[in-house]
Amino acid sequence: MTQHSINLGIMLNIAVCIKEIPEEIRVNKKTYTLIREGIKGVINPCDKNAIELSVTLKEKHGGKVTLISMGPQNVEKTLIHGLAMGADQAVFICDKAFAGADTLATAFTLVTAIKKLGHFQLILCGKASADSGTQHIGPQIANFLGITQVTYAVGLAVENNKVRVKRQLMDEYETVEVEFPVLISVVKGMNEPRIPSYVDIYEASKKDFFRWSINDLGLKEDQVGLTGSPTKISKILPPETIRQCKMLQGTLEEICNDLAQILKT
Amino acid sequence: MENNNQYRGVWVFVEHKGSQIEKCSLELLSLGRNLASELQVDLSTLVIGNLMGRLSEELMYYGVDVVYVVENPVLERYTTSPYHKITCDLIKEYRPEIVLFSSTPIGMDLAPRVACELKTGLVAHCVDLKIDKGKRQLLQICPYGDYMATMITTVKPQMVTVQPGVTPLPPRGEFKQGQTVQIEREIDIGNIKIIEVVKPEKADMGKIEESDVIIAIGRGVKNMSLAEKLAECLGGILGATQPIVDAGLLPESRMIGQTGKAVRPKVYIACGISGAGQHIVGMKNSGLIVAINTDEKAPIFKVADYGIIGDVSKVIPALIAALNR
Repeated sequence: MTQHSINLGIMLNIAVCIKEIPEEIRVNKKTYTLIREGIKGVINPCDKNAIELSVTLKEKHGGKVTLISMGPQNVEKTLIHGLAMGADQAVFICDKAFAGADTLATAFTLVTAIKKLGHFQLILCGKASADSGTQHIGPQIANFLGITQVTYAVGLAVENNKVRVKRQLMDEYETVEVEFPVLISVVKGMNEPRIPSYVDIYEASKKDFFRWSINDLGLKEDQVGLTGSPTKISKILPPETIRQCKMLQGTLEEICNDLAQILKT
Repeated sequence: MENNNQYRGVWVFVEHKGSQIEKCSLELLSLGRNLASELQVDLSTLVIGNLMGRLSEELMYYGVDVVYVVENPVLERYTTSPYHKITCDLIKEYRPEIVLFSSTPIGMDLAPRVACELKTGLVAHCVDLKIDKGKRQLLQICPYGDYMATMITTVKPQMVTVQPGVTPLPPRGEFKQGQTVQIEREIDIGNIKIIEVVKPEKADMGKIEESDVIIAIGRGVKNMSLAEKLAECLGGILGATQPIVDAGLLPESRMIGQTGKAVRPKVYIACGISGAGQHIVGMKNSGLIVAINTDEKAPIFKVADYGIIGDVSKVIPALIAALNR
């Protein structure tokens, strides 16, 4: 990407990493994997905020937004939704070889795709996925790329080729200033993600959509998926019964009287 | 491939604020002490900051063998780049087999990047840690959907973040023990500049972990104001599961569970919550737990003392009436 003169604005090349998650989280007791069949897939909530941020920045400063997603099955609808929100192109990384990837292997695979796409000033992602919730991917992408990271963003402004980010921490807000290139992970609620119209969705299906396999990324099987992952699931157990639950019986009024007595003591 | 046997010892990354050790870090010391004793190795802590003298001395009352201290005025407040560089360098140099962080904004900013740099795994939001002595392997226990998973890391060091609030605090010993090792390092603060830090005016952030009564709502709650009335009636505060927070009905500071807060109120009333594993880890240590749900098979009943099978929109008004009687 060539640097334009200041008069023409910054022209941001932005990548947004998004994830489709199952609407309901259930575990297959035999394979230890999350059950996807028959469960609706949705965009991870805070990823929508990341897409909204990227599109807002593009509208203000000019530039291009690329969506990147890795998933076990067709997440076309999730990516189309992002394109309909205003992203310019989408890359869907899908291959059996990527199955069972932990966060390190996932970040590595995403970074390989990012590098193949070129140079980005800004890489955005959601703070965490609502299914596994690790919060690892953002910092790990930043580390693989050797760039600065800013996590927990609730506000962001680009000025004089620098980015000012307001971060939401445990009991305070911290504002930092960083230079490009930078990875920023955003908190849900930082903005109001736009809802695309049917026309937007129709137009989105005409935008560039790439599907990349392990071969397209030039990776070997032992670098990705379960074999490329240093963490493994050793076993899973159903949640333990830790209390003997007494079911309150009777009419609604009786039950509530009993409970009120218990609560008052 | 590195020889995994060269790694020995348990390390805890210590967070602090205003020369006070954060509670979450003390919890890690209690876990770390057990692991170190089982493995018959040293428990060490890594403290990065400015003027850490008193704090590092205080750590020696908690069964720590070695306190590694890196001090510099530019390290007063956490920023990713220098803390990351120091942590990675020291882990490479001293080769601990286990490194513990807290699942806090600092821990979650730092640990994944350190793990990535060291090309090792990281298991997030652990609620318990054990040792498989035969294999000298750390068993990392964390919620996984409705289940609890035991994870292992096949590379060293084995790194985890631990959910704050789920581990009891360790006792403070009567005498100091162990030693402090000051480490000199050239610090590169990177290209990040802190402009300002503000505390929000609204006292809404946090606080849920300090409330004696929590009315927690899940997807089965259609009417928020009912739950609010019940909270008011019992002098409690509203908490929520992730779907409720994701739907924007309550702020993130009210989220209870793996990705939110771990709480231990005296009374916890779970309304319309099915009880996914990731929610349960955040509330199972509460005093009295009451669950209201239409589905008698909901896993929430397994962690409740009292259960009511019914629709919260009918049960709550009746309960409020009963409480006012």
